[in-house]
Amino acid sequence: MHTHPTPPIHEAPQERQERFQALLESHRKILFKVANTYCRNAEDRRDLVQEISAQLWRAFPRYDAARPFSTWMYRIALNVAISFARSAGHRERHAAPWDESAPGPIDERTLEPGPDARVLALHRFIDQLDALNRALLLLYLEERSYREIAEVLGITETNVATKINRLKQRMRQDVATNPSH
Amino acid sequence: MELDDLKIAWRELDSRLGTTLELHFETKEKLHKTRSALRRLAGGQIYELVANFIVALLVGSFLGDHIETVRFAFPAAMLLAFAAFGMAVNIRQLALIGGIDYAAPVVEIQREIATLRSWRIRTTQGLLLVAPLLWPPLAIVGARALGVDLYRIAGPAWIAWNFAFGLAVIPLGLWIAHWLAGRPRGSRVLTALADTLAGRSLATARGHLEEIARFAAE
Repeated sequence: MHTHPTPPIHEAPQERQERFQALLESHRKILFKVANTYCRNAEDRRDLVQEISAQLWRAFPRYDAARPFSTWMYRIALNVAISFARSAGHRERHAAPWDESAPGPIDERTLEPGPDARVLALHRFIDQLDALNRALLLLYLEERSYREIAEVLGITETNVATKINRLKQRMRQDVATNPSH
Repeated sequence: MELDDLKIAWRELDSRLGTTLELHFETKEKLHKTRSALRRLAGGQIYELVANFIVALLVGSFLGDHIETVRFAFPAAMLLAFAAFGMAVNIRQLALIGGIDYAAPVVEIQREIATLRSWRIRTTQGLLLVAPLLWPPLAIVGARALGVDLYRIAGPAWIAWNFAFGLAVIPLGLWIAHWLAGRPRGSRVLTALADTLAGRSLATARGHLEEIARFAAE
């Protein structure tokens, strides 16, 4: 986990914006991964990335540079994404299938074990999960420590371990019932 | 396929992200203008609070002028109570919204948001149900403010019929809301109103709260 140099007490607005921009740029993949996990179509993803960026910028003055930026960013990004996914307007579009601009070419014909079959299985598995379990899966796939996952989600490390085991069991059951995965 | 196999797919997506997406950093002004759902809700509550305050001031002034005339004071007191309740709801919701810090742990914030949503739906449902009863007092007070005495012009029977009509509209509105709920409709406002009145939105919000409780449980 990376922490960042403590900013000067009287940081000029321009300096703060530059510091924020640099941090956001170096962690930009988090934004897109969260948006891809919670949104199916490109328009929603763009809106969500914009909303998360805005929320990060608003909260940035309260960010404690002694703590890891990624943990802080995951919390805000996931909170905004879950709220976004639950909003009524988004739910209408959420029902649409994956669009062409979804990451990765998905071809149902290429179901032999391979990169696209795995990506397809990943999307299918994510689709089955509720908003909180999606957050857990995302952090697990990002190979975050159980401690950091617990800190982001606000549950105990034991609970994180239990829930990840349940996700593993669910994945096995999913494969057993859908052998094409 | 195991859960760990999904990590390979995730890494595959990760590598594609690195080559296909660019983050266009928005200007500070544009980021400030971006209105999250909570900011929109807070904005709506502030407008409602101001509107309720103006109504309370006007009706309070009317009540002060007619405090000894029960036939005018009573409907004015009804309207004042409605505006005061509305203001209390607005203030409570603004306090709840103000307490939400997105940088806090996900489970905690999602629980707060679901509680806020559930509370907002219940109060909106209550206010929508009571609203049809407000027409007669509003007509009496409004007409009197313009110098017209509805009791004399329309008569007590007209007022009684309007109250009865308001009472009849409540179950009718509930029946229509239940009929509309779950049916595909074009208007998002109509959908929201029907779902709120029929209790569908509240059930969804409660479902979210239960989902959070299950997730947080060991």
